[in-house]
Amino acid sequence: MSIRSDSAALPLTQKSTSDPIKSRRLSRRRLQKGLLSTALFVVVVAAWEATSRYWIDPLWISSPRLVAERLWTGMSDGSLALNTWITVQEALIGLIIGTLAGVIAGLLLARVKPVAELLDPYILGAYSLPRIALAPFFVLWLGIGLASKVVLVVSVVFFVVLFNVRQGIETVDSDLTDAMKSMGANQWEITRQVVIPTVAPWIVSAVKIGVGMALVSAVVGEMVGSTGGLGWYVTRSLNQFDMTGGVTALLVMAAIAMLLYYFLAAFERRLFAWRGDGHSGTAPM
Amino acid sequence: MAQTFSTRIGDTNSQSFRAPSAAISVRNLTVSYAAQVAHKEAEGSVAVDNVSFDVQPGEFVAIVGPSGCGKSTILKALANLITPSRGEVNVSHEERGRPRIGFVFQSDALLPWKTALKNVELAVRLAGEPNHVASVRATQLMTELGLGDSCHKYPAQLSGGMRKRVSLARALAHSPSVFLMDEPFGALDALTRIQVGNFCLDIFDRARQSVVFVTHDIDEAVAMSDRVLVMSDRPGRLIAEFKVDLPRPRDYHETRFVDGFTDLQQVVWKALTTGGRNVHSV
Repeated sequence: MSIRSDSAALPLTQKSTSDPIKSRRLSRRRLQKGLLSTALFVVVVAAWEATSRYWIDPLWISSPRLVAERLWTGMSDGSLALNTWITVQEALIGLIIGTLAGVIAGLLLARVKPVAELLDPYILGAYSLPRIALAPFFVLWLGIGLASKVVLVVSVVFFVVLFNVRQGIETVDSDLTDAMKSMGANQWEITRQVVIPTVAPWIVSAVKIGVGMALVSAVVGEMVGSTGGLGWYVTRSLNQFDMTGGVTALLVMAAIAMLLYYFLAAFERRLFAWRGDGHSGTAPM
Repeated sequence: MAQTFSTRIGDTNSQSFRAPSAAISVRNLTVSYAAQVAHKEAEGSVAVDNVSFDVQPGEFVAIVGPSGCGKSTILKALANLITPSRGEVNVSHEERGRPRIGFVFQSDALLPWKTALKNVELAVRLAGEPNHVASVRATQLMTELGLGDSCHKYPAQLSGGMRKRVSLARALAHSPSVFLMDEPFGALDALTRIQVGNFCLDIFDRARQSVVFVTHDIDEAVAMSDRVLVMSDRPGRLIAEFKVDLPRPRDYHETRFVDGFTDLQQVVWKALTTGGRNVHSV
């Protein structure tokens, strides 16, 4: 039969790669945005400096100059650097343990539905509890060292990750699992190839939220009882009416949180390159 | 030749009815979802009701029926993705162990986080081949199917037609004994459908595996298959069966203008609309 059409000549679809004009326009907009946010920063700092110079005593609000000086001396003599390191350590260790535990618990609970249903009220109860209020308990039980803060951070991060993982699992495409099964994949292969990649954006978005929560928990833990860390530094500074010390520590905390967040966002973009140009945002909370 | 299933075949789950030559045999397959999906109401929970048929080696069988009649359920039962409530399903295989099934979904069911090549590679690996073999075989398949340029693209970067071809490559990758296709062209536009349809026919002409092809498009069913099975509305029963004697090789589109096509299309349509009553031989 000669009526057959040439099936090998399908058109190759070419996805338009970055258009040079468009990308130039884009980078220009980015430059404008950068300039604008720098200008805003300068205005805020200038307003603060002016306020502390003409209206309010720096005793109450410190001043940019004093903070910059303290930042320099505190970081070079190690007093601030050491306390920063303590807080970062607590937050990061807690964040990592909490995330791993949340992911594993989420995956396991999805496998054993009856157990999940049994545990749900308890999980919800623990989640609804303001876990920051547990800080004094953990300090009493585990002492004023690293352990009590790490456990506090874990208790906060764990539930955020757990909830996100469980919600993410609901979005697993049943066609994908069916396809894997039809190819002879076992449960572990399905988890590895389908479930974990589906849930990954949910985990990353939970961790992005978790970064801030981990720092808050570590600092609150330090305020309740410790011998070091940025929380301890704030408390001690304010007890001595050293406003500059307190403000400097706050700014360091903000800087750490922002750094971690941007790092995660960059990691996220790399990790989810497969999404194409459609989405680049994070999974909903 | 047409045959009607006006009488129900009696309950025969005690004996195996599989003809020795059949590649696929389905006997009294009944699937009711009540047992599997708790929230479905008891009424209308029978998706497939007492369906029996055989597929010979190398035969291309199309199943048509109204949407929701349980066509897809039959495929899922064949692929062992669901357990029949009653009856049995048998898919032959040369090697020991499970039969190898090439399942093509309406959605491409490609892993979106893997490149086209890695998707195909995974299928070869899951068939038990070591990594280096998988990579060679996948690359070879992609080239054979004219997908060489798309190897390192993610599914989201490919057109619907290309994605379909990749999922065909994946189905071929683990040398299946049978192909199960669930409305594989449903999501494609008309032109792409013709191209991918021909691509598919070409593959099956060369490979000669048995195919069970589910569709609601009568023209497509007649144009591609050797035999058309017609199903009733829910609960799905087999109500008619038509042999398609059109010459091969066929063209997905041009076959529609071949002598005899329109007659066949008409009788299938009639069987479908009358629910199997008043069906006469072709």
